[in-house]
This record gives sequence, C-alpha cells and structure tokens, in this order.
Amino acid sequence: MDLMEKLTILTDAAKYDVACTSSGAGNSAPRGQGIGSTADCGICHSWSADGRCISLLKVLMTNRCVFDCRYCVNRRSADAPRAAFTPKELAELTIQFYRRNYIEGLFLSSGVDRSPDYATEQMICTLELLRGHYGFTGYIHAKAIPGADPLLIDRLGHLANRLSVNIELPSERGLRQLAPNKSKRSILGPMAAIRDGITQNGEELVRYKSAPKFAPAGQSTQMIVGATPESDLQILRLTEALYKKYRLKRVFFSAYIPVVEDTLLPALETKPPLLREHRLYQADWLLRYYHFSSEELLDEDDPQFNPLMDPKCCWAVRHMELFPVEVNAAPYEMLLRVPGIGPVSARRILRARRGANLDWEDLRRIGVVLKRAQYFLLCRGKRPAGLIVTERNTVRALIDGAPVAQAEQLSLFGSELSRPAQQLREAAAECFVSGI
Amino acid sequence: MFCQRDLSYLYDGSIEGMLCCIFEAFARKERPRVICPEDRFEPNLFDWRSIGTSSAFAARVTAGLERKVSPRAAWIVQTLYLTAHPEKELLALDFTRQAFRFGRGVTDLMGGPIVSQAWKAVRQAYSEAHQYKGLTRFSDFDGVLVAESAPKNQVLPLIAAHFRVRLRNEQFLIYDRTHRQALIWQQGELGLMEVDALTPPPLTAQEEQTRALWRRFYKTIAIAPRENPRCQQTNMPKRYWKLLTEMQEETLPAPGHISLDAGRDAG
Ligand code: SF4
Repeated sequence: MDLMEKLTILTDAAKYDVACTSSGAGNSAPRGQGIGSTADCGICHSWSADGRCISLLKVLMTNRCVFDCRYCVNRRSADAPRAAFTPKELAELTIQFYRRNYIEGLFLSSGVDRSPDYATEQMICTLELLRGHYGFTGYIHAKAIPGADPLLIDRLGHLANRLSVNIELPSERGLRQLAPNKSKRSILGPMAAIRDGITQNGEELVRYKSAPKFAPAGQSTQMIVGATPESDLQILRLTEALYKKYRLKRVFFSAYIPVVEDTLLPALETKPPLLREHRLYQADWLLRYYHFSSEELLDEDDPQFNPLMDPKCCWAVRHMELFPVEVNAAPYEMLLRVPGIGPVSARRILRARRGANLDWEDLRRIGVVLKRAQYFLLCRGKRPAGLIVTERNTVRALIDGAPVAQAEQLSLFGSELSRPAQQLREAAAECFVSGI
Repeated sequence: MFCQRDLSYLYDGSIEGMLCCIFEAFARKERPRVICPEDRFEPNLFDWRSIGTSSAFAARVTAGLERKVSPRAAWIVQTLYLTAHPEKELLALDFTRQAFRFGRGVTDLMGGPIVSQAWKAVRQAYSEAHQYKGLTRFSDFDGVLVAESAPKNQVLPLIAAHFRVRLRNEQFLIYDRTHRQALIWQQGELGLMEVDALTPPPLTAQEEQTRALWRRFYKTIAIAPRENPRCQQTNMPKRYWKLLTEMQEETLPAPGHISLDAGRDAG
C-alpha cells in the first residue's frame, strides 16, 4: 500500500479525536543539531473545512484494533480498510511536513494492534526515531493505551511533550456498556501513573537540571459527549474532579458523531450536539481561567446548560444583585465575572486605571467590548449615557445570537420559525426572563 | 508647544530615517502635516523638506526614550515603524511627544487617543506576525526552504527569531511581497534584504509529492457533519489562501515545466 493511501486511512481514523493543540508546551529555544521548537501560546497552521485549527499531524500509528468499543470506527468488528505506518515512514513524513511549516508537531495515537504493549512499542519506536535520529525538538502529543505496561508508558512519557489517556465516556456505566475492553481502572490507572511521573520528574528536575523530562507539557484527556445520557452537571463535575485529582492540563469534549448503527447508541441520523459541546468548553474555560466552580454554574435543579445563553451570562443574570460594579474600583476577580470581559480586558482595565480615572470613552478605546458589559458596569459612578437598564433589556443583550439563528434546527420555538431574526431574539428573551 | 506646520517631511524609508524625522520635529518644535518615505510622496499644496538620515540622531531618539521614559516606550516607537498604520510616522512622533510629557506611565495611558492608537497598531502587527508563524509555507528547492508571504505589516523582523530557532539547521528564505523584503537564514547568519521579485526554480518531484500528501491530509482531517466554512474563513481569511499549499488545487504539470513565476507581476 502506498504512503498516500496509508495517510488517508490513518488520518480518517484519527480525526474524531478532538485535542489538537500545542499550547502550554512552554517556549523552547533549543540549539545545536536537530530541528524544531515549541511555543507556549500554541500556533495554528491551518483551519480545516469544519473550522477547527490544524496544528498537529494527527494520525494513528495503525487502525488495526483488537478492542471493540462500540462508538469507534476502528473497532474490531467494523468493516474498514486497515493500514499501519512503519515507524520510519511516519517519522520521515512528520519531518517533511514540519520543515515546510505545515505543522507544529505530531499527535500520535493508535489502535490496539495485537496487544496494548505491542501498539505502544510501535509508537515508542517512531518517537525514538524522531527524537534520536532526526533530533526533533518540536512538539509531540502521544496517547497512552489503556492496559499497556507502566514501563512502556513511562518510556513514552519521556519522549512526548504531552501524554493523554482518553477517559472516553463521562460515566463508568457508559464505559461498561460501550467499551467492554476498557474499564475505569485501566483508564484511571495510567492517568494516575502519568500524574505521579510528572510530579516525580518535577522533583528530579529541581535536583538535577539534566534529568530527562517526562511529559513536560502535562496531561490531558477527552470524553465523548452525547453518546450516553449523562447531564451537563455530571460532566462538569467530572471535569472539575479530573483537574483537581489528576492535575490535568486540559479536558477536551467531543460531540458524538454517530458512525455506527447500534441499538445502544444514538441513531445514525442524529446531529452531533455541537451547541452542547460549545457550552461545555465555555464552562471549562470558566473553571480554568475565571475561578468559577461547577456548583456555581449548574445544580441539581438545573443540570443542563441553557442553549440561549452562555454559562457566564446565565450566572450573571441569576446574580443581578452583585451588579453594577465600578470599573475604577472593582477587584480583578469581579471584573472577570462581568459578561463580555475576559482576562485580557480585565488586565487592560487594571493597567489603564493606574494612569487615569476611566470613563466610558476610555473603556472603548482600550478595547473593551461594551455590548454586554455595559449593563453590568459603572464608570465614575455613571451608567452609559442613554442606556436604559432593565432586566429585560439586559437579558436581550445577553442572548447568544448563534443558537437563535439556528433555531430552525433546534426547533426551540415551534411555530415561531418563520419570524425574522429580531423577533426571534425577542421571543428568546421573553422565554428566558420567564424562566428565571 | 509644538506648532502645527503645513509641511511634509520626506525620509529614506528606513527606521533610522523615521527616527531622524522625530528628531527634526523636536529640534524645531514643529509638527509637520505629513511624514512619508520619498518614494511614496504625492506632491501636495504644502512645502516639503527632505530629512537626512543620521545614525547618531536616530540613536539619540531611542536612547532618550529608553532613559527618560522607558524601554517599553522605545520599543513601541520602533515597532510602530513596522506597522501598516497609514500614518505610522506621525503617530510615532505624537507618541514620542506624549512619552516625554508623561514619562514612564505613558504606556498605561491606553484611554488616550494617541497611546491607544499606537498600542492598537503594535498589537495588530504582532497578531499578524503570530498568524504568519503558522501560515508560512515553505517549499524545498534542493535543500533550501523558500516561502512567500504578503503581510500588511512588516512582520519579517517579528518572526525571524522564531524561524531561526525552529529551522536552525536548515537554510531558508521568506519573501515578503508587500514590502519586497526577504528574510534569509544561511550558515548561521540571519539577514533582511531588499529583494524586488522572487523567481523560484521548478518544483522537484519530491516536493510535489510532499505537497500532495499534505493536501490529502488537509482534506481528510475535516469532519463532514461539522463542516463550517464561516468559521474556517474567520480564522483563516481568504487573503491568505493563495499562499497556502493546502488551498491550491492540485495541478501537476509535467515536472520540469513548472514555473512559480506564472501570474506574478514582473519586477
Ligand atoms: S481501543 Fe476502542 S477506541 Fe481505541 S481504536 Fe480500538 S476500538 Fe477504537
């Protein structure tokens, strides 16, 4: 089989894995022989037709698999063409793409060919070629295979910048039903081992600068959303726990795309729950950068995200008593909680207000987007001239336009479908206010 | 007080030249109506004055900013030179005046119209540079990597260090069509050169093959049920597409008869 065909099969088989980022790898400035560096902020090299950033060559070592996870295109029982890269082919391809600046590095994962150990060895072989023979000092993300020997995972961790184990599904029950060859233990075991490897390595590095680095960009995981019936609250709690307990750098969510006809899974024509995935990412962002906890965003009475409003706006609308806050006095943490203000704007405000007492015009000029924020702020004790702040106006400004525009698909409003967008927005606001 | 003069300053287009215009304006306590490179001057009703370039004067402006204001302020003025702001020289002058007036704190005065404009122009240049770190595409011509770009800002100096480290054992050239400059890394030396046009040699079969593999990867990695051309275009505006290997159709004329020159304006 020629390289073109292999690449096609093994890209196609890898594309449902969502993590494709090289950020958080630290800035490196390697010298001497070899090729490659890492950039902490992450660099996108292209965007595919689905609008996702392409930064890594994301392929499987092989799509041969002895496991039979029911949601997966590569499962043993699937009737699919199979292929495998040789370590040499894949290493060479990576370097040729990298030299031309097509990619930021390699994201390597694999089906369980023969056994977890054998599959892991093939990956190790590839990475050893890259790190050794080619002197590759760029970014590598490798996926650990549940059930592989801890020593092999340790070796893999010394070759990769980031390691991850997919948690796959948000509950043990889902896992038992849909991934019979995997168990909570076989997934969380390596996850804990990687965490301990990273911690221990950190201590070694303090003692000996030259200690080989173990997954210096940390550990991440991903889970499939929408294949099993967990609520957003359950997923968010799990996410929070993963960050705390396993010190993960990132948790990725992947809207389930039906690829298989199976009575245990959503029907083939089910649309991937993209809006839900989007809301989960927004909430994840709030956990990581905005000091929110899962309990603040959702609770047992309200366990699902609102399709009409992002989680931060939802929180703000439920806590109107805390607003408005004074731009020239509010602490950083409070500014962060204002809809429309993120860490960048909040930091800019802190810096700008050291030099002057800010008014609305100043805020605009330093680049704070006021469309939403203006309902929650005071400048020198004043609201913006001409702005009438009522609960309804506020809610209307916070309604997320995209899902409303997609209302047709979501059929949120039944017979309202033919109304123009403006009216739809009104209807959405109406429906939201009555819900609070 | 600087008095506003109906006058144009013309300079040689170099950064030192621009700094000398600032020096001149300070020396005469005047603010010209226009500052622009000689070759882009469109005669107007006003008087004009040609400003000579002197490294010593330029260095005094930079040193003054660094010492009396802050290194950050000096950096802003230097970066302004690289930006695509249509009146970057005047903006640099106005910013310098504010810097000497307000001192260290000037870079925090982001609410003010001049400082905010300066920051914005600088930010845009850096964000375009960041884009080009990802969107630059090299082709291998006999071991030399060549890329073309068409940035609005002069990003080459801003991406030089990045590529020098990354491709430290390669030789490369990045050509900027807009500003007719090339960044060249060869045998451990980095240089920025004026280059009028670039005519790369024909593609090798191996280069064609690698491009084809990349295009295939690009096509295959997209997930059909999630297709979202709007999002693709917001992130990767169309003006970049002509520079991207993966956005070109696969045209494979017989090896040996390919010229990258086709369709490019001569000179
Ligand atoms: S182990 Fe399961 S998820 Fe992984 S490739 Fe095999 S079948 Fe697919």
